[in-house]
Amino acid sequence: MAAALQVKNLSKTYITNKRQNNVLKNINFTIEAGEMVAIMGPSGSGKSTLLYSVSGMDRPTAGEVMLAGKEITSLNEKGLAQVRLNDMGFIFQQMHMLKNLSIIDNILLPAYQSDKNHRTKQEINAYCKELMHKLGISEIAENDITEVSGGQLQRACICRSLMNQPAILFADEPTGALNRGASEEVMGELMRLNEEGTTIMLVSHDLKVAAKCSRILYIVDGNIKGELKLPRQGQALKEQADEKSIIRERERKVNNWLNDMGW
Amino acid sequence: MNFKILKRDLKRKKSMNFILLLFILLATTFIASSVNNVLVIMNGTDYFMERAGIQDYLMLTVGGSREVPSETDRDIESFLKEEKQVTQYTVDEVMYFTSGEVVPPPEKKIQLDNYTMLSSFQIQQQKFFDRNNREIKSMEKGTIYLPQKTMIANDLNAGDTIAIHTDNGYHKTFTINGYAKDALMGSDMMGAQRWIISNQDFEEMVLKSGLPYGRLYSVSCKDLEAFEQSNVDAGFSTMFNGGKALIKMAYVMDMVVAAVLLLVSLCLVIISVVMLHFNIVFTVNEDYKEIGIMKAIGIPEEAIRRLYLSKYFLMAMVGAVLGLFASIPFGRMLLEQVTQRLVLQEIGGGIGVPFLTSILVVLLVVLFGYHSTRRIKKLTPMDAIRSGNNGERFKRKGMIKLAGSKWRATTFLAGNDCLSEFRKYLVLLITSAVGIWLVIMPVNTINTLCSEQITKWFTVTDCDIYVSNEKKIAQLITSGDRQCFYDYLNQVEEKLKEEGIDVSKVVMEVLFRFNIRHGEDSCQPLVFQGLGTRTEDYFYDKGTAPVQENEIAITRIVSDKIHADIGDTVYLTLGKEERAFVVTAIFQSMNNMGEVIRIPEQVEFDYSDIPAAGSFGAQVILKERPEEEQYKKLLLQIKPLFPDAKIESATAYIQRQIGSISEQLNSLKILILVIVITINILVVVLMQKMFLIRERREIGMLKAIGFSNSAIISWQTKRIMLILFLGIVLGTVTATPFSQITSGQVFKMMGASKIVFEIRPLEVYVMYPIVLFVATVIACVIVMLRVRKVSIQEINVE
Repeated sequence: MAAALQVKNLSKTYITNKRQNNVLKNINFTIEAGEMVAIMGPSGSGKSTLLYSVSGMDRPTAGEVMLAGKEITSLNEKGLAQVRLNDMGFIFQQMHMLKNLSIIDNILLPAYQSDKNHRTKQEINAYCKELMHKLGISEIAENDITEVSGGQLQRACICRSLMNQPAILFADEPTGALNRGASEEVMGELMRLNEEGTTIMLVSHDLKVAAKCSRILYIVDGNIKGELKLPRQGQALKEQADEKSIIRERERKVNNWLNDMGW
Repeated sequence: MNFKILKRDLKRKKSMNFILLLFILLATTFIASSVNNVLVIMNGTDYFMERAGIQDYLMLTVGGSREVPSETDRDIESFLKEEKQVTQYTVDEVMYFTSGEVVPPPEKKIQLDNYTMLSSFQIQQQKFFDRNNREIKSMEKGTIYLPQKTMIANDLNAGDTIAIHTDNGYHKTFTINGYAKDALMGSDMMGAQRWIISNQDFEEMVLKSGLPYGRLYSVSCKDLEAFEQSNVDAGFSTMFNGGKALIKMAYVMDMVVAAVLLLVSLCLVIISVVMLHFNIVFTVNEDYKEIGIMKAIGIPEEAIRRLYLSKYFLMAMVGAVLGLFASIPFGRMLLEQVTQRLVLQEIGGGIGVPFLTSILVVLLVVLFGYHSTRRIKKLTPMDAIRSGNNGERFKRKGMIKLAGSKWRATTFLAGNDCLSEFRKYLVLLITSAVGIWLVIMPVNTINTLCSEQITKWFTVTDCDIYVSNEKKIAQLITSGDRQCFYDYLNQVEEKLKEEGIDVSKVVMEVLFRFNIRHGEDSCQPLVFQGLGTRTEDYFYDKGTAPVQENEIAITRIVSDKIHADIGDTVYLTLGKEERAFVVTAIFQSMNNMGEVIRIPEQVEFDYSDIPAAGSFGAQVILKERPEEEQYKKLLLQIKPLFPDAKIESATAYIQRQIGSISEQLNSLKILILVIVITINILVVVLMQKMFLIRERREIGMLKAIGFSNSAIISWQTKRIMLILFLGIVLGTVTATPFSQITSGQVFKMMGASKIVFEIRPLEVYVMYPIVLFVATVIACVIVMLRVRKVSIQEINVE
């Protein structure tokens, strides 16, 4: 399987009040295409910094990041913007959208800005409608962003992140601002996308969210302390009929592992 | 506690507060200086007349000498002694000279437009002022003050030496002290100017120079109207005869500059108020989160409102004090254009008005703050929790759709922003529309004043070349013989023909002052009689040209004054005789403030009975007007034939008559352009900075989804470009009709009631709008470069 993301010797240092703070220390890992990887760890461990550094949202102090076969740390600001536009999607904890645009226009925005694959506007519009239909938000297309629920808005954000058919999807606490029902809806969508082949790397505090992933990286003080591989939940569900017991089993396993890690 | 919250607020939101402070400062500067300037200009000529001590009525004569006064002087003296309306009068002596009697400094030439008056600086009639508005109280022997116009036109400077050399061999050298402000003769419209010298020099020159002698009568009256009527009835032949109102009216050209400035000031006040309102509403909207939190923890609405109002009060005080100081040099800079000839009230001395207007700005800020903080009632704790959105929305924001549109994403975003939040951009729209007015209106006025059609409004025949020799004209007038005028015109024609120039004819407009009466109403207008011209060749508003010896054309102003219209019989006092004329036409003229009549050449009267008041010189009409280059060469060819005369085109001649108004307006035009561009840039820069602060989350988000810095700059710049474009188009389209309303009034005051503005489309509709647009957009892009500093992490900043 080809690597969707390859991180080599990644470090990130912040200097505050002349004090050096090494947030990430020489991190190495690879995410294969089609994987769904969760990053976990205590507060301040460097999870979000790692996500921002590997996704090209922030620049690492040292190291290499290969995203969809491109080395992105050496890219200039324009090059990085191109990567963010065409090669990856990003889902934030807060559902950031432009308040003057309707839901559908917010979703369309990156696609209209991109010239990837030279799609016509009709093709873009059709793809957008297809995505919205898949994520069950077709009926809110023309709504303003204040007229929909948090779960619907986060699904719209997912649609937006997928508009340019990225190689990888990054998500920072995608269910962090949602209630339980909405969280499950959103995670269900992410899992379905992963089943369809989208590579996902997400940061979460939520054990239930992490348990749905195929791999968990546990990070402490800027180092990867441990890694847990799980069978694909979708595959397991296909093989065994009792969905609830499978989920409980995965969550128990993750919980035990996290306890071992010092969670 | 409140103080602590306020202190933290000021510290934490430094940028927003700083921008608000800047807006208050700018508004105070503009309003304080503008209101003061408006008051100063409105009282401008009144103040100047009062300070100079100009009396109710003035009469200027020529002829006679100190020992033997002329007949006119004797008649005037006895009239003034006997006239009941006269409370007191003074008599001052003057002398007259022309360019031919002036010896310029080495390598310089002196050209004076008309006869020039010479008087002592210490006369009873009025006071004189130097360029710094200080009264001239002493003058050393051998020094001289010249009018500003003469100094500029002849490139003369303080310290240069100049001499007067008369026909009897008398020679007197003077050192130029600088220019003097002269209330009576200072305006270009007076047609003549005055040089002032010391008492000793004047005494010496009266006795030895042999220059033509004259007297200046300055009269105070009980009832000016009654006095004017008696004076008109007496029918004195004078060089000048008019009341204070006429002298004030002569400054109408300076008032064109002042009117433009007045307009600039009023527009600045409008811009300032709009700017302030926008900024305060914007700032209050920014504070919704804090307001929501304060409400959530139980602070009452009134207390929250007091807190914000005290913040605005504090900032308004600081801004107003700084603005007050800045308004003084700014106001002076604007007024400088008007103070070159007028003595206006000292702005520094009148600190009261700027101070009061600064207080007004503080009150305005608090009032806008009070009005804007009404929204506090509506803001709930939910606003704090949900970042200002409570889920209720009754008005759609997205006005246009990206789906299916052909626009680029950045263009769509810009267009959608403008449509969704139009009020947010209204201040820029108003500023650019008003700004372009300020540029176009003076340009239209200047272009009209400099156009060829202006000759039409000055009641002169459409000739090709002017040969103006003041000395010769003075001789002709003194001769009092009409045939001498014809002989001179023949001489000029012969000379030109000898040189091989294809002349059709040489004509001359001779000017007189007659009394005209219709029933009980009368006035003393300027009378034009063309020698060699056809009355049909002039422009009339209605009626037909007067061609018979008992026909006359009058201006609309004379018509209104004596209540006479076409077909009415009016009476002209020609010397001792009153003759009846039928009015055949109404026309307009910018000569003599519109008080003009035209009589045909056929009207015979004795020029020695009524000395002419002046002439425009010999006017040459060519058989065929050559191309521009050939025409210039022709002017150079003619010059040696008439070494004492000024050779120029009709337009150049009129421009010289109008005076330095064109240059003044031109420099004012540039100053206004600079001010307008600066204001537009300031408004755009401050607005952009505010948008950058407010939209940093959106910018972070767009960066996160892959928008490059250049794409974001493009979005923000297109937004400003769109509003600027709309504002400039709106301003450009409305500026010309607005010119008719504003500048048209000034022309009307001058006597031209139906002026057709000269519009130069390339300049007015293309060049200036583009200059304003490009300069503002460049400034906007420079500010927008700060987008690069906004990081993606700011997406999470509340």
